[in-house]
Amino acid sequence: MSLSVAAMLRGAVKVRIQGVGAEAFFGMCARRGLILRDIRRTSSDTYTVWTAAGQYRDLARAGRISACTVRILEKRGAPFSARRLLRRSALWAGAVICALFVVFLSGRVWTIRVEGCCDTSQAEILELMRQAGVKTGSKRANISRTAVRNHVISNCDKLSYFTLNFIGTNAVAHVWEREETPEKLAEDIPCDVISELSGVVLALRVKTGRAEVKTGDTITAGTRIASGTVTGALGETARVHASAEAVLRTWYTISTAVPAEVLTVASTERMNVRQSLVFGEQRIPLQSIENVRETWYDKRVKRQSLRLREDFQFPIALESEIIRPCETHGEAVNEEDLSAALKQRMLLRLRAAKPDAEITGYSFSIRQAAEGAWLGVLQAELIETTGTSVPIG
Amino acid sequence: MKTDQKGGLIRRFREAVESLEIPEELLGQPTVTLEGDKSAWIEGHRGIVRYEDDRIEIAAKGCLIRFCGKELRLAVMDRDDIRIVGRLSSVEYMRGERK
Repeated sequence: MSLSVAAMLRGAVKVRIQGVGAEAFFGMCARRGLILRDIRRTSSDTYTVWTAAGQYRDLARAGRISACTVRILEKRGAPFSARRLLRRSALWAGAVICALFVVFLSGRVWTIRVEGCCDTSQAEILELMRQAGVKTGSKRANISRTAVRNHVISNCDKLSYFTLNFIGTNAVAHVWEREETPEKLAEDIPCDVISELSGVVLALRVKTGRAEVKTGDTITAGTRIASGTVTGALGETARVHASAEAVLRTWYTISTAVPAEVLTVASTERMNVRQSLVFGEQRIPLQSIENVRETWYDKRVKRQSLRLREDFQFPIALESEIIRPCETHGEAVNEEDLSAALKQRMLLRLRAAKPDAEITGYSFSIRQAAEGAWLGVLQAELIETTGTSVPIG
Repeated sequence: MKTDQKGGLIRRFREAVESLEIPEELLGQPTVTLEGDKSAWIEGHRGIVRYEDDRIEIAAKGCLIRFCGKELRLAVMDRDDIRIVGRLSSVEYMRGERK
């Protein structure tokens, strides 16, 4: 018989009732308010009944009065399970040790993740964090996030901000890198405006100061486009903070050489698997590791961590390295494919280098430069804006 | 003559009670609810008289209720209610049979 949750919590007993006056016994039980469940007739004078464990005494008393023998056949439920479990001291000791183990492990950092790195390397940030006391196995309570942040920011010039958060046993560091912006001169410092680019002036906008170039002029990098030294109506000379910008038509030539033969790497059917147990930062190989003889090989690492939840994992992992030796062979490239791919890549490179510029035209050519190499040349015409303030003198 | 008068009074009293439409269970009468032929609830019982696989007899006020069928058994029994499960074939009310 399946018991309800409440019955399981209270405990239930299966009782055998034997006697000729069993019907009278059931009537007596009902009058006394006892609840009987699943009454089954097993023989002419024998019945089995499920009842709550707490009602057994009343049931036995009713049995004595009605001349029926009452015997427990089965016990089920939480009170009986708990009584059985209480006797198992080794189990409780194991549970306590396990709980202590979990408490001990959950108070430490077992994985460190760094997010937001572009120019800085994760290894650099991890090393700085290690110096500040954040490493695998560190006690979380001993780590001051403010101290770690100050240490990392003060020792890495490339960062503008750093945060460290703990999610379970994971330490997640987020970095914001510094963006280099040209230093802006104060408005009251007299200055000239120079061009950083070479090209033909398409337009000139001078807010303050005196224009030094005009539309159509060809200028080079460093040419002064607006002067901060101005002459008044009466012939007096004054120095002002010049403000101007020039729109230039510029030209760029980019060239890239690529080998005429590409090396094709194909993994073979052979496969070596190395397995190792990883405890924190310690690696215990499960097989004797032999060096990979091949120059080219494909390695895939699969790590299976022992984890309770998404944010709580034990510092034990099984790491499998699947190594497939590769075979290589040279293959001549198709000129058309290479030309299209190279042009695409060089245009992307130019756009990345000049994000604010507008590409108005370009030409691309490819030729065999030397033996075994192709040279791609991209000539592009751009429209850019320039104008940098430099103090006078 | 006296007996006739007494019988008449009892009949009138019954008629008066019936006209009030008082629920049967308040008057101590048993209520039997059948759920298809699979189970039956009996409210207001007064004990079990016979319990066999093909027949269960329940004592109630003023009558004996006999359930016939196959594989009959008592699923629950408490002070007021009894639930019989199995394959019921008939329910009989027997007045005056219970002593």
